[in-house]
Amino acid sequence: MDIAQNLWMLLILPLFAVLFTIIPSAYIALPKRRITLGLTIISSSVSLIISLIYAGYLLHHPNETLETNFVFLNSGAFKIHIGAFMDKISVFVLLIFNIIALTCGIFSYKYMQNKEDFSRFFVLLNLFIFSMTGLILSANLIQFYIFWELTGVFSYLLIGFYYKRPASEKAARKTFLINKIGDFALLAAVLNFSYFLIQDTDAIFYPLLTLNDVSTWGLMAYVQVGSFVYTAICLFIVAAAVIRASQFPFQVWLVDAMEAPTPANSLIHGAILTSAGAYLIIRLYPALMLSPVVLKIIALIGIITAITCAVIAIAQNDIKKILAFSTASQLGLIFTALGCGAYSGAVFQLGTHALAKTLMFLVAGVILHKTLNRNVKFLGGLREYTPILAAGWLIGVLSLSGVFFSGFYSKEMILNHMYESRQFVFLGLCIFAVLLNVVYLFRSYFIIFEGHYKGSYDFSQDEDKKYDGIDKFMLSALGILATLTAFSGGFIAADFQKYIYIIKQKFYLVRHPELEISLFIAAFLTIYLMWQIYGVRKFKIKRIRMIYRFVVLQFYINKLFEFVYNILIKGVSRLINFLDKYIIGGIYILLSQFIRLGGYMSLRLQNGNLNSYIFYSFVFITAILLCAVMVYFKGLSQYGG
Amino acid sequence: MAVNFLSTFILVLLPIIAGLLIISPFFPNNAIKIRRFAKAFCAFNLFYSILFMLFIPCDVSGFAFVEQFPLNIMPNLNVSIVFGLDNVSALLCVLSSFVMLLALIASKSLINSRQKSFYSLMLFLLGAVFGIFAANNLFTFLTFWMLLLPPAYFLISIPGGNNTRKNAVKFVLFSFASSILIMISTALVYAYCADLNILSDFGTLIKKSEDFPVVMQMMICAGFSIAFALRLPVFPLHSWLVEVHSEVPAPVSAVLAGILLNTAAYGFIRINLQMYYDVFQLFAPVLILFAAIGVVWASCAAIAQNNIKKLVSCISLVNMGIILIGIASFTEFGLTGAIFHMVAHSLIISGLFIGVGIINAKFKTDKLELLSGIAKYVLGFAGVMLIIGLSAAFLPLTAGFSGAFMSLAGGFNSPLIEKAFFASDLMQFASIFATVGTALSGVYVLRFLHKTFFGLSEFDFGEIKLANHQFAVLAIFSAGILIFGIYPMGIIDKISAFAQTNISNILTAIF
Repeated sequence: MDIAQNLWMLLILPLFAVLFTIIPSAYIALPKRRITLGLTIISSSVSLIISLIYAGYLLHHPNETLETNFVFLNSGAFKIHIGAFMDKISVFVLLIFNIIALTCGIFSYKYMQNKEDFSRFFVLLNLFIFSMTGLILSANLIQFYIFWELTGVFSYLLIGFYYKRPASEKAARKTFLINKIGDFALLAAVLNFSYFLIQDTDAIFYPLLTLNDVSTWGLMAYVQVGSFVYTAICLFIVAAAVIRASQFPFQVWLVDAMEAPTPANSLIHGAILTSAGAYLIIRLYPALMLSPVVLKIIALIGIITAITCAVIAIAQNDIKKILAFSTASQLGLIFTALGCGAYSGAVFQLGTHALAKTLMFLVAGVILHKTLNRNVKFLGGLREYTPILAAGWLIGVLSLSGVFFSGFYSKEMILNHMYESRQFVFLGLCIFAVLLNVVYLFRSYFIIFEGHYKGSYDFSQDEDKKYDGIDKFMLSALGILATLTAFSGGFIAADFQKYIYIIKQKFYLVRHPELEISLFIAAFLTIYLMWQIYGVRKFKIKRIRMIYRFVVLQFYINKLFEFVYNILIKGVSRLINFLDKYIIGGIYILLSQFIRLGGYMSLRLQNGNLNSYIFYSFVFITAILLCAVMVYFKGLSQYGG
Repeated sequence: MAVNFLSTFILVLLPIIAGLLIISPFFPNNAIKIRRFAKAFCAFNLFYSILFMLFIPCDVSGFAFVEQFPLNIMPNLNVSIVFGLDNVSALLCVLSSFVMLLALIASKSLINSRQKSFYSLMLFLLGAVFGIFAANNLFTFLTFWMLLLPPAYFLISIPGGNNTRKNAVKFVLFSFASSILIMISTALVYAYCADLNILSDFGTLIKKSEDFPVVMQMMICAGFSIAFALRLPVFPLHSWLVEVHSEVPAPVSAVLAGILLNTAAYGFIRINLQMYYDVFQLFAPVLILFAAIGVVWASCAAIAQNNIKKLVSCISLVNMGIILIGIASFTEFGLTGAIFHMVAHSLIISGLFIGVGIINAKFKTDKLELLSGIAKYVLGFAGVMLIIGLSAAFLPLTAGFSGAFMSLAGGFNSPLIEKAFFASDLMQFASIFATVGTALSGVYVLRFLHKTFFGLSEFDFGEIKLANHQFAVLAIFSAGILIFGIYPMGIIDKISAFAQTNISNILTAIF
């Protein structure tokens, strides 16, 4: 049996979990919550084991890719396949995704336990896992689009999970609509690529756009349309990726997405869904590479996001919003790396960022679950009460800021690549962005975990309990993630570029001590400064009100979006509705009035006056005679008379 | 055909007989008996038409089960009624009786007065629609196209709101215009060719119509195009649809949008595309342009609507525009996608209309601003409507996606783009424009769902529960949407032979 056939298992498992969650909730009186949890854990851990087996297989067969397809749509020349395609990149991303899905599943059990609609949450979670697995394993661009929309929908449903809350409902709608722009961009790219590829070949067939040979069809399309149009099509793809990855003007949806339950945030918005944007670029990299302008634009958007979102994150006080802006900023770094050609570094950074960000989200989830408080101003000094959480947060912070642990290796890979390829402008900006990341990350650590506790929750009731009163399910999830965040990067960093690369490079990892040491010194100076400001509060920073407001309100981008939505979409639709009602409807009313007028006129003709009747019959008879004469002469001329 | 118990004549006549039985004075005037009788007949029709679909082989594109009945009303003309089904028309018959059955089930709680006339008129309507789909010559087509009018008129005008009479007259005027145009075109066909008698079925007509002079074909084709465009409806001719739907009871809306509009799309396929492709290729770019404008126009109108019924009827307009793009694209997958989307559109729009009708009946309003947070009371209802609504927003893996994607892809890759002498850029622009229109779908669908179901419940509606049959109807619609979304080949296998033979014939003839 072909080993690729078993890839379907990965797609079917979460669906089974959904099915067996729905059925017992309707018919069987059993401890449903345990069963739901058990199903989720079993399906995600079996998926994890399967993907581990595949990872081992692919490590031993370095030149092999696995692919299996079935026909989803087929009408003559038109074919859409849905399949599962696995190479080293997808297996890496899938592994990371499965680990996060498993830990989030375990974590959610306790988090959602006292909430209503427990099983609905797990159904949605498993459906999201299904669609994301389908996205990661996509065999072609059309399938990618299909699952891309599905992930967006399940993210929307999870954001609107507390549908009775107006804020949650509003946020869900906004995120869906902003993401719909990206979906449209991807659809436009798919239609354009297929259109130009059909033009290229003599026999009309609908191109499959397989992700296995992106470079081939990319080159075909490039040759067909020339560089300008090709760049335009690629920009559609970049737009889709940018919106999904919440890059600069579009980071607004990610902030709104924080209305979802925290475990869903950690799985979807922190780590995986947003990374799907970067994953799209990674997958289509061979096609995008053909147009250097596109890569420059990607890098530019990335670096702008990395810096601006880090700046905004400094001014935030909501613990989840800090993490949201942090996600946008870190993805900005990944985009910059992709734009600069640091392909392997970007993939690596995708993984390390996902792990660390999930860890931080889950720690934030525990804090929220305990204190019911999202504002960091009302936290503080938590290190004394829950050292476990402090350790978890610190590991995440250190890894994300690129100073220690896994994050260090990935950042090093990216910066080294820029240094090697002499892109010093981007290198400098990247280092600046990394330092800004250090600033807000350590600010959050010092504010939440140092100083004095200012909240209302009484931590003394947890003192006697084991593990600071943290539930064992939550604790195990945190433990798995913390261990992986701390140590996994070091294990795979050495061989990473041997397996995942876009162009096989001679140097696998050339270390530049001068770069690393200067970065270290700068980072430690920044951390020390943060310690002075937020830890021991030696300095007081003075806020300049206007700039602060400007930053906190995300440069008024939110307002801009609302303005555009209100004016452009609502205004135009009102106008069109008005036209529809009064102009087009009016034409028909006018028409009916004309007919009525005609009727009225003909009524006037019947005036009972004999003279006028004789006149009408005279006109009528003359007309008939005229016709008859004409037909007669015409007939004569036809027969030669 | 060896299957003797299947007769197209009986298929068409059964609902009409059932309707006559119900309306006859002998039938007891008991609401429950009327309802059950009508539903039983409709279920039998569904079963019977499914048998037709099963016994017509997939790889045959011509008519099967052809039956002929001479009418001696006009001895000189030798008029006759000819019935026959091929895969597409059998599929549409099954779809019609399916939608009709579910609409009848839903009307248990939505129709409270004049049940006798309501159920009989619904069955008459079904019979007329069967007649249109099963017609195998132009005379039969015309007859049933006109027979459709009286039941539709009475169904629209019976409920008696403020504007119902006006709306019914509007509907009749538009439909009558289309009937007249079809009559003129049919007369032209038979008047021109002396060697054709009025018996000739569609198969003969397809072969003969190539010999017509171009001007003649143009007149005939234009007549048919405008006639079908009036009912489809295409952009500037659409003003009857939204207003008619605003005051009709939900089951009638579901049937009007889910069944009646399909007859126009079917007419485009059967007559314009199959017979007069030679001149239809000249009209097609214009139709695509208007359809694309209509898609965006209707999307915008849907966004601005404050009445949920009008909003849903605008959604119907959007989908019909996409279907027309698929038909007029002259590609195999465009045509297949259009037929698939006809099925998908029927399921989606009937489900939405019945859901809206239930909201209207339970909460006594159809204004968006007077509704909010219904999901608090009826979460299951919200879930089912979410599936149907998202399918109307072209979500992949629901039925709304595949057909729309194929139709739009057809519009992009149409061979007419190179051929059309005036409109090659215009056609590409139109396809892009329609794609933009589909992107707007998210806005109106979410507006509908969020204003009605989600958010804070501002008004206290008290205890509200959905009746079992209401939930069952919506659940069946959404199950159909999910099944055909995940497995579209179930339908496409049936129609691909039809699309393939026709389009390849057309393309070889044109190029």
